[in-house]
Amino acid sequence: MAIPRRAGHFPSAHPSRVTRRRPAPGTRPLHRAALVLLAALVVLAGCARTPEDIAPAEKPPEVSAEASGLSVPLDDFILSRLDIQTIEYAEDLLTRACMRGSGFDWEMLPPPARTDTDPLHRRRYGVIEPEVAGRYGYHLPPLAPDQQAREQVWRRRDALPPAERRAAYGHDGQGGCRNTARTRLAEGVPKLDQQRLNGFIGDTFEASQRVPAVVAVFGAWSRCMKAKGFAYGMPLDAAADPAWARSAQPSPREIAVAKADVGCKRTTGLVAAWSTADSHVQLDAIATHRADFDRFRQARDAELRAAEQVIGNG
Amino acid sequence: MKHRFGTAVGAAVLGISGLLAAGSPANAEAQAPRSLSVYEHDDYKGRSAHLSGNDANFINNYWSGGSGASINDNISSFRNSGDQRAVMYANANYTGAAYSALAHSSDSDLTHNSNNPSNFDNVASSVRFVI
Repeated sequence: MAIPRRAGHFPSAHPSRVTRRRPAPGTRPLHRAALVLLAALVVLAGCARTPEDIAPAEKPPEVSAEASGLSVPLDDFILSRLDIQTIEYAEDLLTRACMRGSGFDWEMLPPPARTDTDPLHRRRYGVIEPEVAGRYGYHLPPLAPDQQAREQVWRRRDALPPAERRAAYGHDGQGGCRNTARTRLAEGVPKLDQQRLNGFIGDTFEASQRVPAVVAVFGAWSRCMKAKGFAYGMPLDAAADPAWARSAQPSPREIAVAKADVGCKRTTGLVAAWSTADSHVQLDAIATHRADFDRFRQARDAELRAAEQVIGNG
Repeated sequence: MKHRFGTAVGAAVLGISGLLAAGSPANAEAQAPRSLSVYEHDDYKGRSAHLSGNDANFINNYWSGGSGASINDNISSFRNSGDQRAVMYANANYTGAAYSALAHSSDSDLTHNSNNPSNFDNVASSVRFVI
């Protein structure tokens, strides 16, 4: 049975991904049963421990519509950030059961979010959001509230008392209840050849930059930047300028470059041109290596399905 | 398309949590949620460094042993012994193609991951742990 991609990721009455309408990128439809389950999970999570410092010092900009709308064909074969949250939540449920068997509790990560506040492709073509560029340059914005909550849990896990730590991670850090949970989740799930999948990700991204239309728009972007007083040959060169690494805060020049960068991307239509080429290159790769991609999808779906079953059994 | 930087600048560390420790993976905190050991050569050989947090630009992160050489564009294999997935990016500041390093996974040879002999070998320039 195929699994719905980017759907609620909780057990669904709609088994076929083929017949389902694809939701907007970064969002996930939630069915009534899933809502009930989610509400219960929220209550349970809230009973465990309240994450400290959930609210960031300053409100980070919400991901823009353009950034959250970015998608590429390979998304159908890889886990989104929300998918990863689903798997981590299932892993936590299994870990907690195991830990309780040893007389300990286990602080859960928050339940999977409904909307991705920081999608993985947000900076695929460099910084493209005017607000991010204007406030942070090429530095990362502060964490979104949902990320803050998760971060705090991870930090507390890093400071577990020795006995709890051993129960969770084993004596060598590779065992314990975490390993038990991982092993249980992996039962019957085909092994994903992540190395090969990563290879396609890297290859196609490089190839996309050699497409004539992309080479042309890079040239237009570079001329636009030069006209604004900044000399960079390629868009990602601006993001990677070593000068930005000299401080934890963006300098006025970094902000100026980032704003010009985003402006020139808009003027030249760079993101549209690049993402179009990106998609074509990826579709070609998928068609050429269909057997590989069928296996990637099967492994991804099976991993997600196993996690959803664990969550469904709560 | 990857461009290299010939010189390292300063020792500033960027990133949301900014925790990065250069050191021998053998001494790495094995139980840390974030524990990514990277190596200069295939099969976990050559110089190494240990990453325990986000790093926006590898040019300021150096191989252990005091050689003064940056790990930027020089990683050929890795072991993620931590509990969190890491995403290595082809370019600094978390831009460009994203290469997933699953929790408790390893990649002994970033050169031969697909058909392109240059694929991801000596390419990674930043890393972010997924939250």
